[in-house]
Amino acid sequence: MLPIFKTIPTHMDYKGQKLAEQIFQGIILISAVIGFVCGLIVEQFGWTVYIVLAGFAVSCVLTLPPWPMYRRNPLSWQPAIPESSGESCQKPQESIKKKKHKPYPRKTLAASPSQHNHGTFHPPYGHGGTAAETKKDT
Amino acid sequence: MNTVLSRANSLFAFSLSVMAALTFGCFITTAFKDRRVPVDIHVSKVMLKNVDDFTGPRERSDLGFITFDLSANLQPIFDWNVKQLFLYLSAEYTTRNNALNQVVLWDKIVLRGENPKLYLRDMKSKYFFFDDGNGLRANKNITLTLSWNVVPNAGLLPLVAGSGHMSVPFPETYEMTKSY
Repeated sequence: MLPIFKTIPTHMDYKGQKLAEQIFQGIILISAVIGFVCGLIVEQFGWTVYIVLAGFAVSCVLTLPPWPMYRRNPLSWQPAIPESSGESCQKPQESIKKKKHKPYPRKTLAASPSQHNHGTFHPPYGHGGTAAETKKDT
Repeated sequence: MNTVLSRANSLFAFSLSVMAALTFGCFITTAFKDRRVPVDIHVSKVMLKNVDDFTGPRERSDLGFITFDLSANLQPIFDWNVKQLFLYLSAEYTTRNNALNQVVLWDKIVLRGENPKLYLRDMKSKYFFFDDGNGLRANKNITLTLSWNVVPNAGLLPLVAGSGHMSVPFPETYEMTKSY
């Protein structure tokens, strides 16, 4: 069922949309004026309502389906270029990734000894070695 | 406006706005109209009793019975903004306790399309004409007025009093109720 629905054209071009809006506004306004005058003469407000509803139905038929008169000015698209469009899209993403990841490990390596040891340099596991020496003395 | 649904939406919204504007126009064309009509009220029989009022002060109160004729042509009231009229006949009088008493004796709904020429004879009141004391006896100025409430398609709900009153003097003696 779905592919059948997708084949039904519902699209109007821009000038067609403008034309459709002008047509339904004109029809409904004219039917409103006619209905108001008729209702005033016949002294029945129901006539006004029915005439406006008739105008609504007529404008539905005229402007809801995309008749050919609304599709006379299609947009002229550029023809599709088959090559090299995919590569140009991928390249800038890679360059961004490289720029972001390169400086991160360098900064952490340079900053970590100075921040934790306050200038004096201790070799790793140096403190455990002094504990072993005290055990030997006793 | 590029799909069927968006077009249907704007079409529907525009139609509703136009309909609202038309309804307002219908209201404007009838808003300043004079809906008063001459009414002829004639009272043929007045009877007064003094009975127990079980709904009110639990004492013996005055109860009036009025038989009346009514004729009016309501045709000029109806126009395209009137759905129905609610007519009611009210009695107004003053007593020693209250400056103004209003009692609705009878009412009627006249729909649009029904016969607007009212010609009623020997009508009995629909509702009891109870006074809250003994103010009806020998009251010389009890005024009957026919008023109506206009129910419109759109707009205000005006209460209009018909031009044409009837003043009724009430008797000075009570009609004795027969005890079986």
